[in-house]
Amino acid sequence: MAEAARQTSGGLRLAASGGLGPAGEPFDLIVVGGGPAGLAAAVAALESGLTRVLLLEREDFLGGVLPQCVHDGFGLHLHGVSYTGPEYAQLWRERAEALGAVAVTGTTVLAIAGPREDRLLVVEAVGTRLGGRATLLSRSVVVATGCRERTRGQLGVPGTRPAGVLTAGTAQYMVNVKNQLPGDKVVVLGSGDIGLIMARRFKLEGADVRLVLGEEATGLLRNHIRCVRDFDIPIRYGWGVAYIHGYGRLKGVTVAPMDSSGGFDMTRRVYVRCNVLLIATGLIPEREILAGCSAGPSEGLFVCGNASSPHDLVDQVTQESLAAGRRAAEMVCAAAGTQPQSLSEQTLSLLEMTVTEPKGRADAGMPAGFEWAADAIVCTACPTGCIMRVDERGRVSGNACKLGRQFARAESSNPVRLFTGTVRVEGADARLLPVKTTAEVPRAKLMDVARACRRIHVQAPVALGQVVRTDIAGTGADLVATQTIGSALGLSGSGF
Amino acid sequence: METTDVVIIGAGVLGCAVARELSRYRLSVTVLERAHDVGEGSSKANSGVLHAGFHPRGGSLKGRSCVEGNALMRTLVRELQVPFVESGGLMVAFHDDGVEKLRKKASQGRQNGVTDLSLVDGDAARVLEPRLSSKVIAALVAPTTAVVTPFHLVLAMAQNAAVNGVRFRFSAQVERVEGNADTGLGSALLPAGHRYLLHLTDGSRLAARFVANMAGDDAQRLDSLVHPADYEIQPRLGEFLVFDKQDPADAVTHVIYQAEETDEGGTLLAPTVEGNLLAGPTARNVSGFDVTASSADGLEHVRRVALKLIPDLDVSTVIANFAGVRANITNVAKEQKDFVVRASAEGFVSALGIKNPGLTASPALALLAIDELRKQGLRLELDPAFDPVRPAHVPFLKRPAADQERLLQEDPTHGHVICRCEGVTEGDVRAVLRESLPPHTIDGVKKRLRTGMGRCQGAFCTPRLVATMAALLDVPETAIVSGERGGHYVTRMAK
Repeated sequence: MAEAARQTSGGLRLAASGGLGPAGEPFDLIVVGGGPAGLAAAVAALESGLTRVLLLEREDFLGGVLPQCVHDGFGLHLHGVSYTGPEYAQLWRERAEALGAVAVTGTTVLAIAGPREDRLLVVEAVGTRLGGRATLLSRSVVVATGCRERTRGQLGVPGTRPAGVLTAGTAQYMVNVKNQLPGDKVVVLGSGDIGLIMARRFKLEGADVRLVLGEEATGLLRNHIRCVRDFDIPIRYGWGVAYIHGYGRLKGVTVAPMDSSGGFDMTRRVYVRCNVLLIATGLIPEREILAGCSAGPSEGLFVCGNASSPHDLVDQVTQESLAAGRRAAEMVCAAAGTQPQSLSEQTLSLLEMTVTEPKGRADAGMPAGFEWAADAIVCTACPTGCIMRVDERGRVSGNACKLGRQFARAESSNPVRLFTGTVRVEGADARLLPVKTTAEVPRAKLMDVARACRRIHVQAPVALGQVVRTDIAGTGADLVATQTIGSALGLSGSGF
Repeated sequence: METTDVVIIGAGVLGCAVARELSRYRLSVTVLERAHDVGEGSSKANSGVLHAGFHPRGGSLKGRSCVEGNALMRTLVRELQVPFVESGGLMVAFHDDGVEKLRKKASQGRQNGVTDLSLVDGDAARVLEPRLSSKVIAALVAPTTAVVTPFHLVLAMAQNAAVNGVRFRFSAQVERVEGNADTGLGSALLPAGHRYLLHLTDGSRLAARFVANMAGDDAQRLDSLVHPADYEIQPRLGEFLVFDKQDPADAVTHVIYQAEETDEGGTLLAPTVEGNLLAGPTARNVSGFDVTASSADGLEHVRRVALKLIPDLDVSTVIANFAGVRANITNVAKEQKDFVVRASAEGFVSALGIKNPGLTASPALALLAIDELRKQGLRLELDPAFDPVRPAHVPFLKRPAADQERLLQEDPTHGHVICRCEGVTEGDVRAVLRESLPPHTIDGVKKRLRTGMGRCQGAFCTPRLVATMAALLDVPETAIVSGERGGHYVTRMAK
């Protein structure tokens, strides 16, 4: 990949190439989006023997939303390891790099059209590193553009339009990538995973998280416990935001229980003072670039990952996208009258695994006023996620195996948690370095570790796994980098 | 002491129309605007519809200026390169009494000078607008109804005025006005020939020969400084829903009014120049001109009317709601109510109670106000150096390939997309920050480039825009604010 790497970071000048790839040929595959879906699709296509594969990414780095998801819980099903988002992204980025993938970052795809009469698809893109605006031709295209978030405007919440009302993903990007804190008194609308995870992030950054509102009790039970209950954050199910207050800056929200018709019972409304309202009410697949495109799988156009539909787990995204990359390769090979190479054993085994929905998922439609049982323990010893209880005599129920029993006993006596967060990094384009503890630390120490992180400055370059601080906050655990950050352009030099 | 021939108070659509028109002449003109940007009041939160002129009472100033303004607008948008779409308008009736109202509107329109109105049946209306409700039984067709991007209109007039020598002062709120002996206000401080001395809240003073009080919601207060208070003007709020960009294949293309609800034209549907669809406004009295908050009931009303007109409209494609406040005269009977443009004192012209169709009427009202000043002795001598053309900023992605190639050579940031919903690049942001009358806030950029107006409502662009603006303006990210009323996006760096 080294040769291609140097080429792209200096600008491929694809704009001037008449839309063709290496050797004046159209691309075999253009992957739109360099997140987990796009990376997996590129890996499968390259393993299948396609050579002219181009990956286009609008950010300056690869990994999609994962680099901003500094928490862990990724890859538990496929890899048996609870990676953080940046670690999972780097794993797949390195796999793609090892196969010689060519990626151009900082490039936005504007539209996809075709197929033309010669059956080629047309990808319209613009980007500095692309050398400007380019019309690229390809035998197949994988759209792995992910999701965007539902906004306050789509929810139709009335009131004013102040700064401080933002989607949870935007807040996550600000806090975890840009080092920007949008405020310190927070209400979260939506009890899905992103809302819960951001409630914890704000808490760890020193903010006062005043309330989480869930239309329904959604999200992984694990997140309810580790993000909300661990930090004593109040949560109300069946409640929503009925009105937004404040000009200029958000001053507060009126919250109220939802009635059966989708409206609010305003007789029970409550005013909550806050300067941040996080909207975490769902994801919408982002496929607008396909608006003018009639092609489908039989014409070589594939949609995978969250762009096809929102997935709960990245493991599902990876599987689906490996399959999409493979199908694209089969298409291209069939048209050329050749056979695709067989996939690596590793990839084949990932494709064959069964990714099950975790048990510890709250059911939809919890009644208003519903509260989780205070003593529920969600097992994280394996992805099954048994919900257990420990009675006053130390007897464990609800577990499916011995590991669960051990987990429940530890949890009821001395609960421990993995800490994930960020520290400042200097000498790089990136502002923050994602970090985690090498071992679980006492739950009671999480805030101490978070405070210690605020005082740490690291000099780039930093390698994944590098120890940033030993014995962080007297926990005995070390703090390590969960991402490689080079001193050059982009996070971890991922402009390839 | 700073002096000027004409001072215009207010840089809304009317103030800017007066400024642009006066910039044709050999005059020194100063615009005082209390906000940090042009078009910050009613001019920014409205439907953007250029009405044909059949709504106002026959022969009223509202009616005449609307028709005249609609005609003048065509030259204006061409010279100033303002996006404009000749959508045409339909006022539809669902019942017989509605049809009666259409006839009345048609006759009013003719009195106001609209020459091309026609009454058609429901089927003919549905040929023009196929998704129109099957319950519509008749429609008044108004070919001259059009839509414009209101903020671009205001900015274009202001920028053209500025290029032709008009001075704009922002954050300039007039506190009080003194006059010389002629005006009966008796200030001895004034230089010869200057009738008015304006005291600003920052302590500075400005002497002017003539005053054009185009201050929108503040116009009544300023008028009462030189004229016995006669009009009561109260804030009236209107709420709107913004729909996502329409599919061109089945887009609603006309401005659609309903005959059964005629208050100020009532709630209407309007396509926008950029391809969205707007529904609104409502009409609700509120306690202050700064109360621009939408209500659940108001939004529900707009939703209901929108669905009544186009039953298959997908309300789940609404991407935003907003509210604007207009100046409503409350102490005049409805059938007598009209725009007021008058010389309230010698050399002092005021425009009062300008609400819709004020956007449409603005070029005509500007001419009227200037004519009032002329009658008071303002000498209008054409300036041969006047340049009527304002080149509009064309976003990078809308430019021809050769242009794009050249721009990228000059500044590679043109290739960096900041707002993907609306297709805005970092180079575009740099360009508008270098223009005359540049923006200072995120809203200022939004009004010029549409960053954050798309379906993701700023979720993608806002943090990027905060970083880009801070870098370009050389201020910390914590200094970047949302709009006129502050609102920091970043309260502090997280660590």
